[in-house]
Amino acid sequence: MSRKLALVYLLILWSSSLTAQEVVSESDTLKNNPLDEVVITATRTDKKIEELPIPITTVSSREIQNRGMVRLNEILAEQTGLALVGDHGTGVQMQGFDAQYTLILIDGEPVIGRTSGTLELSRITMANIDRIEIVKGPSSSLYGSEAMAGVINIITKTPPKGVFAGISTRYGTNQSTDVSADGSYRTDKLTISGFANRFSNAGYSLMPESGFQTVAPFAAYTATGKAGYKFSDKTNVNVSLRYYANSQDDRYGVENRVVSGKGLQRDFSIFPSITHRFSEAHTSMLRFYRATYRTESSISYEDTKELYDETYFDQGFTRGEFQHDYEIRPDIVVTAGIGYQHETVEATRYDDKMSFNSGYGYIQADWTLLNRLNIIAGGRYDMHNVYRSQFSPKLAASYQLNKKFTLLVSASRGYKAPDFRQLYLNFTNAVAGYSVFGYEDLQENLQRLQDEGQISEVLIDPSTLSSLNSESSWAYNVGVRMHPADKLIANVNIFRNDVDNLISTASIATKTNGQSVFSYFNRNAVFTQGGEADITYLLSNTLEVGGGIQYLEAKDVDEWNMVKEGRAYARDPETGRTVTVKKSEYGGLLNRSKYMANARISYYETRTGIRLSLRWNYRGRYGVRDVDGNGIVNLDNEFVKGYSLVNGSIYKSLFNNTLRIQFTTDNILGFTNNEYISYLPGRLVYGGLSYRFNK
Amino acid sequence: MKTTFTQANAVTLAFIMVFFTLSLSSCSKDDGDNNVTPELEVKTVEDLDGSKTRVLLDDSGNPITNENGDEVLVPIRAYFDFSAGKEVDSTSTTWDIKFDGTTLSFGNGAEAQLVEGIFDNYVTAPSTGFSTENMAGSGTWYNYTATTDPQHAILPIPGKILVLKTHDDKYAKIELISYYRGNPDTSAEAFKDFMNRPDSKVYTFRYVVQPDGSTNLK
Repeated sequence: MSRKLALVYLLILWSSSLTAQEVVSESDTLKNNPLDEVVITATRTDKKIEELPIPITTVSSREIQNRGMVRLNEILAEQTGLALVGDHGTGVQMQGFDAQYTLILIDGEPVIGRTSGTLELSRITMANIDRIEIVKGPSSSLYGSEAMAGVINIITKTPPKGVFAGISTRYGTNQSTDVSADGSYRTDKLTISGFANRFSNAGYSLMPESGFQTVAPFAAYTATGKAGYKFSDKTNVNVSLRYYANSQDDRYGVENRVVSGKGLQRDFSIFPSITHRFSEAHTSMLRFYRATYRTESSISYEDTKELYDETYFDQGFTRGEFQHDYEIRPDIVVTAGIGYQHETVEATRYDDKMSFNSGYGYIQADWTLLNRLNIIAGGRYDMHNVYRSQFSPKLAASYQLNKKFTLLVSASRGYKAPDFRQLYLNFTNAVAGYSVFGYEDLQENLQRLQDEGQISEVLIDPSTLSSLNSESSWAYNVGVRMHPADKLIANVNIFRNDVDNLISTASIATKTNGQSVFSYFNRNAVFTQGGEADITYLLSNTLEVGGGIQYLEAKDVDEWNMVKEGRAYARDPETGRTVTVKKSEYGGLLNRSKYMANARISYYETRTGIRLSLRWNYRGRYGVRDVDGNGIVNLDNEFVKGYSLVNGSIYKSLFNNTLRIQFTTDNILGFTNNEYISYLPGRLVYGGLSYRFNK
Repeated sequence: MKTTFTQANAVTLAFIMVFFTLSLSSCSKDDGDNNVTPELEVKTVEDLDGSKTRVLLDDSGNPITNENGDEVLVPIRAYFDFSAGKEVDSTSTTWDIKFDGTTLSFGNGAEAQLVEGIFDNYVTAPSTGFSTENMAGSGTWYNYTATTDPQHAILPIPGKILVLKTHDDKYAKIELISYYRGNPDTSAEAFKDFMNRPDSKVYTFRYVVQPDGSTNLK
């Protein structure tokens, strides 16, 4: 590995000696003032970051390139306050919320297809994007369900005028291969662009002695197309298409036998929109979005070729939306929209094709007073055919103390609707023997098991249950945005989320085989609170340093009360005796680190034209299991120890920035944890090459 | 605009960061556990086996088979007489608790309830609140871990004490310790694999019986 490293390093040095000393061009200097950046996610209108009363950060495509990253999970892993979590895929944890509470958008439209609530982040390529916008705190007032922790919006590239084409590749450990090609053509009126990507990996095993892969080999393809036409200065029409297909070779052991087969996944979306400016004050946008997501898996025993398991999952999402922006006065902008949504799902684990219909409306007023105070007030009302309607208000204000300090305050309501699984799942684990039923069909499924004589005791009569409702939260964010010096930017944000009606599983009956029947209930209340701080300092035109920390407490209200009242007990692992759980021992919700930190440095060496980037990410210890049966995390051996990941990248641009050579090492220290962190394969070394052409 | 990073700014910045860190950390005070020296004998039962099965027989004593031709097996439950301090069989008229998988049932007039506390420190049985109803379901005397590691495990909840009024009106307290043969270490790597765990429905527990009929369980 180190020989390879040295070789690439030499190659870069050698190539740099070939070219004459390059002048530091505009694109080479590090970040300009990031607060001047215009973003769309926080208000659904274009607005400068420094004018927003809501915590938002952006990651530019240049930063992603500098770090040698190709997929969404890689870049989110290094953001202050975000943590990756593995649960049926790799998702993101924000402000202490599980992956299912962060809405992921591409150009403002939701990416569908979650497994147990997790949207696999590596599905999204970074090669054709302009930037990522990350809004923390609930945005249900604009986006509805799922935006309870926040929103991550991936903004794809808008091509510049002329003809452009490019190709970029990255190859490395585990035969990880990422190849992209793109082309675009743009005139005053017409814009056309296309993009294709292939991402594959030979998989890896964290426990080679098992004979099985921890992560299976796969090959994924992404193809996107965008076209836009400007009829006049007033009217624009755009359409974008996205196709993604992934094929995976699964192989694992079941009861001392080996099973294997293929898992396929396909998603497709089409997104046409039309924007019309009626006047300086009035702009309307009509958008339509249709997305489908399908998975198929067929697994057979290798010895007898008998089928072991065959499943499919088919999801459809259709939405029409109309939004109007009205600038009443230069200091007051009102944005309002209405939409209608139709969702379907058909799967092995559901009895029939299920569908949801919902309609919604939202309104938001954005008012600037005395050039210093900005107030955003708004709300969204969602009506649904299966569960209770939901109103999600938001009030946010920012006050500019002076040129250097701005105070931000917001209070908002977030919600997450029960998903198809929680309503309609009909699943019995063939190996362990337990069953899980969604709320809606619980009664008839339980009756069926009773008729078959499989139930030994009904613990809760389903007819006494009240219907399953949305999970909802009140969230408060207070922060300071600081720009105390020309080259220094810092953000501090303190948050508190009170979540109610959290849906979790509980047993409703016991079976004659000793296992249980589970269903979903609005059961728990939890809270998350903490704060984050992030700082970026441009020491010179070529050297930038930065860092961030997050402190987090995420607790279950009932558990925490029990601990506070001294009613939570633990079994001492040494003596086997029962002892009281101390407040300091209570670890809160699973998978939440109390402390996270990162530091980054980026350096541009002007003489050789080499750019270096080095980042350190620390994740403090977090709870993963319960071995003493009290249902909470409290013993030392119920935690995963804290760990550090160090990633580095080095690259050089040649021939007037048309060719670039890059060398990346992720997880330089080679940290792995085969028991609890399956998504960390150890040290990864990549070499990359890209070429851009324009006419 | 060219501003310098003044000392005042640095102080403000530092102040805000320190304030925000401090405001989030809370002090905690924990009470120690007062230990009581027991006067009654604490007995331990290891591996009371409720995992055995027998072949189901028809009226003439022949094995009953299912559609595949396999013999139909029925479980043999474990029954325990606490006053006598021994395992008995299902035909006995002195059993207090029937261990039926995760369900505990009470027979021959025995009644029970679950209370919270530390077993050794729990010294007086309540006079009311007993019931003959079965104890079943996650959250009663055990937690089912579901998809939390160790997955699909039945773990007795520490601090749950089963107070029993036996069939012959004696008070007893019982602490369930394990649902698996050999009372295995639940934090061990081997216990994680639910396919290869030691036999379930094999109970380890401690108990104290007050033979004089009083509620004193010290």
